Amino acid sequence: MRVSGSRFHADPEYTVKLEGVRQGGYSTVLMGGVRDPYILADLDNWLKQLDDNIKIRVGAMVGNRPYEIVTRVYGRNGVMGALEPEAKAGGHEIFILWDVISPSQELSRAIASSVSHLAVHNPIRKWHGLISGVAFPYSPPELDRGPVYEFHLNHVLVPDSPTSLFRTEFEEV
Amino acid sequence: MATIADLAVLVRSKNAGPFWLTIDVMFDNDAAYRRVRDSETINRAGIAHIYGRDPADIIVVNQDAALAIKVSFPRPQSSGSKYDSDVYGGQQYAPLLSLAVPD
Repeated sequence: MRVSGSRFHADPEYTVKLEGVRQGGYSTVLMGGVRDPYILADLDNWLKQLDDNIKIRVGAMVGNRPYEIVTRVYGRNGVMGALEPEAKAGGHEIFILWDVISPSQELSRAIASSVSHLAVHNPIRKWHGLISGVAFPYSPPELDRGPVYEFHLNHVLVPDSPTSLFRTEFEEV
Repeated sequence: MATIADLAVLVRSKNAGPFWLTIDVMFDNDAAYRRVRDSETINRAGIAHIYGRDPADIIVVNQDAALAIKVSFPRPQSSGSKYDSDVYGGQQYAPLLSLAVPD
């Protein structure tokens, strides 16, 4: 394709693009695999039950501090999320990435530690007794990811002059 | 034909120390246990084939008092080492579930 005839229109107003992030908290991640076919067949209920248990278990520890657990299931929709047209996990194993985000690293790590214990022993109706339903590649399974950020500032500034926003220092060398 | 998963009430795996895996196949009634035990569905050569191990390394114990069959073999890598994928060994039983048990 050939494009021609483009023209530059000078804007009478001088503008500066301003972009920025804000810190959204501190992240601790957990990674684990599931191979049990009965967990895979009932994955949504198994994850829902885990969420419910997490809310009960960490509630007292967290108090009124905000926290969020983002769960990604690779082998199902881990890559495409809400855009994924294939609703079901098709293979014989999945990989789950739990991302715990809270106002402090210590709290995120403590929540993630509880999540790891609740997840690995999260029961399923098929099996009568304590199961170990998640294969963690690492011990301890929690990994601190430090502060995390998200896009927060997206403005166009109209400065007094093209240079008014920027400091200029001259040095004799 | 029934499978191990149809007849057992719990199949689970875990580490037996850092260098071994062990799998418990547990039943809640004598008939189901005896049926699987006597069929020798779970045997050293079969386990070795499924997991790609040497048959000489496989231990199968039929534990009558517990209505359970216990399978143990060395891990391909020690727990927590850089090539390990399941530090607690908890998700290594799935290939046994679909083994067919003769009527």
